[in-house]
Amino acid sequence: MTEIRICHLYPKEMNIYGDRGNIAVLQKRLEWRGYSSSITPISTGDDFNPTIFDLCYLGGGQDRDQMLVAYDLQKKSAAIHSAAKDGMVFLWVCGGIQLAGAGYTDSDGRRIPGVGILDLDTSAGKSRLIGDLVLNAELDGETSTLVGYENHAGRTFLGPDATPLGSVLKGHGNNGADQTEGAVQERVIGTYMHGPILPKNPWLADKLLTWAIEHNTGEIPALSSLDDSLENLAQQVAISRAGMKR
Amino acid sequence: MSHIALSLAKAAGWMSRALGRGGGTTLPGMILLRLRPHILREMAQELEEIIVISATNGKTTTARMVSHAAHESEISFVANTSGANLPSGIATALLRRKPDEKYGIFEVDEAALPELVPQLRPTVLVLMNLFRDQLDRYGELETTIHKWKKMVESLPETTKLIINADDPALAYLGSLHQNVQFFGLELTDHASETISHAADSLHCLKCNSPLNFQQVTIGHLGHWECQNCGFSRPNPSFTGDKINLMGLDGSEFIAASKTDSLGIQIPLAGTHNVYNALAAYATCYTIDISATKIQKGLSTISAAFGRNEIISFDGVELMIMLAKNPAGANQNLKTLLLEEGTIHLAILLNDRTADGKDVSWIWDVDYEMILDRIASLTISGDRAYDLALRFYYSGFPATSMHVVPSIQELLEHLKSTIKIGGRAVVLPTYTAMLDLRSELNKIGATHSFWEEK
Repeated sequence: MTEIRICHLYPKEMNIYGDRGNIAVLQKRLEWRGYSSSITPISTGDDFNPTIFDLCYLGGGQDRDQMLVAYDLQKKSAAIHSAAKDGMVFLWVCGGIQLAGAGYTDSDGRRIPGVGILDLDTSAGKSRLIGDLVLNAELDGETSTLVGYENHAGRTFLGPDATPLGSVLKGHGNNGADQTEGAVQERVIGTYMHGPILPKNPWLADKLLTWAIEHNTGEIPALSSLDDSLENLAQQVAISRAGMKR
Repeated sequence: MSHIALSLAKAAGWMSRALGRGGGTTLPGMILLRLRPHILREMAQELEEIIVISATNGKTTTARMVSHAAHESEISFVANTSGANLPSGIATALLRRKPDEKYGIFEVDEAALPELVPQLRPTVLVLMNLFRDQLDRYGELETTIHKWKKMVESLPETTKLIINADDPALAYLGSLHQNVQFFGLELTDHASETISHAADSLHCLKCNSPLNFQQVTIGHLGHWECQNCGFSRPNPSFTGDKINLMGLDGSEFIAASKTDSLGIQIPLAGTHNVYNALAAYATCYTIDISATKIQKGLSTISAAFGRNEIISFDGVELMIMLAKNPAGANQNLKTLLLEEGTIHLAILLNDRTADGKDVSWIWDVDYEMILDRIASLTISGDRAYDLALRFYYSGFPATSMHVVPSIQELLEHLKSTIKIGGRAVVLPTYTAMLDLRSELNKIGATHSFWEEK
């Protein structure tokens, strides 16, 4: 049985928005298709081995925890770059998208470094961008609606090497100005969307799993379809609660 | 005081009740504050003793316990008993104060506290716990701690601060005030040595190092110390010891001050209610309520609306346990595990302003601990399908859960699932609890929340 190896970065520090829900979705959707999986938590002070994982998850945290994590990430920066280059799949959410970029300039003007696996930069805005978030997302030439929630002070702007994960239909997105949300570069995805993001967006979960399995086996798998009726109902309710009827 | 403003505000209360719109627990105060923004300060000045209680979890119950003991002690007081804990609710309570009521007992929303304390100028301020809650409304926990810190720093020395020593962040705030007494639970079997998933306040507020826990009672509450700078749980003046949790029926423990000790029995279940009772004991002790009155007041207390409240309808008993954030929900689940046997469980998730519009918190609740004890699972509320996904991805079969977004359907379903004389446990968010009680009130099963005594 193929084992998909998932690395959960800083689960103790970065877990503020039900982040373990994303991990549960990845695990269950693998299990239901006959794949096994392993989850390896990696905390501050631990080594990050770039050759032993297929997917790397990092969630959102409070400002202070994000700061602690940012400095630890610097020590893992070379290994993380090497993993990204090698096609490891990354989903870095909320604080994660900020840490994946060049850095974060906070409201006092202090600079918190990022690891730079996504071509983007972030600085604190005056207000927090909070609320439901609905996107029209595109990956591998396929499009899908994504729903979730955002709560961030950062304003993120993408450089030329990153493409947005989607365009904002409802909510603020990266910066509240240019209608973009998230960033994609090769197989690294950053997003402000929590909720958590994967339970109500099985299309994205399966996209990540397809990439992770390909990274592991070298072949693009044909994932069997699952009964996503609860997921779809939850997505529809979230869209209508966000003030959009469809 | 302007009579016109007062009369207008009072009239609004009568109208609001006549129209059946929430019983007028906040509208009169809202109008009054609009007309007279500084009225709280003026009205509070007329009181001799002002007790203000705040926390993420347990403030309603604790204020109710203190009120009950005060009542036993024949103290005449004004209180915001219906859980209307924003400035408008306090103003409404003060507006209705009778001239002989010289004590005020108020539970205050944790976000509104820093704004209300300078106006009310409490003689006793009780700070019980801070957990992550409604991040879209309150912001990060760190933000609330920071605002509370500024509030504590500007307290007059005469304000008696009563603080939970088991909450590291609050203990730190206590260290900033001269006139402080701590309360805390002694080592108990009803605790663990490990921190649960997604606990808060795990770092030392003095030096940022990770804290070590000798025991964890709820979330991040317990016996803690920083091994880097030596900051540790302060020695409490009021302790809770020999805790005996008697299933869903109640709890007992020994409460002690520096000089006395007292056996306390409460008809409310779970460690969280022991904390509430201990905080109430410390508060009552501080305002010189006698031991026998405290004992009697706490032992005869009934549940506050929606907090371990039992309502019967059509031969079925509903036990309603408000569950609005991860720490509170986890504590409710742990309390359910105190009883043997399987449970008919109904969970209601709304995402309105008072619930928090962000429902991601349900993924931080450890529902897994209860899965093998579920006799039936009914899921309801505005965001019922989010909750269904939470259980589905924990391995609970979709075919075994019943998802009914509307409250009417929920009650119908519970009636058809549970035998006459049986019991269902209902875990609602705040507005879902109000909806449920309003539906039960419509069919005559309970009273309105503003008739709460």
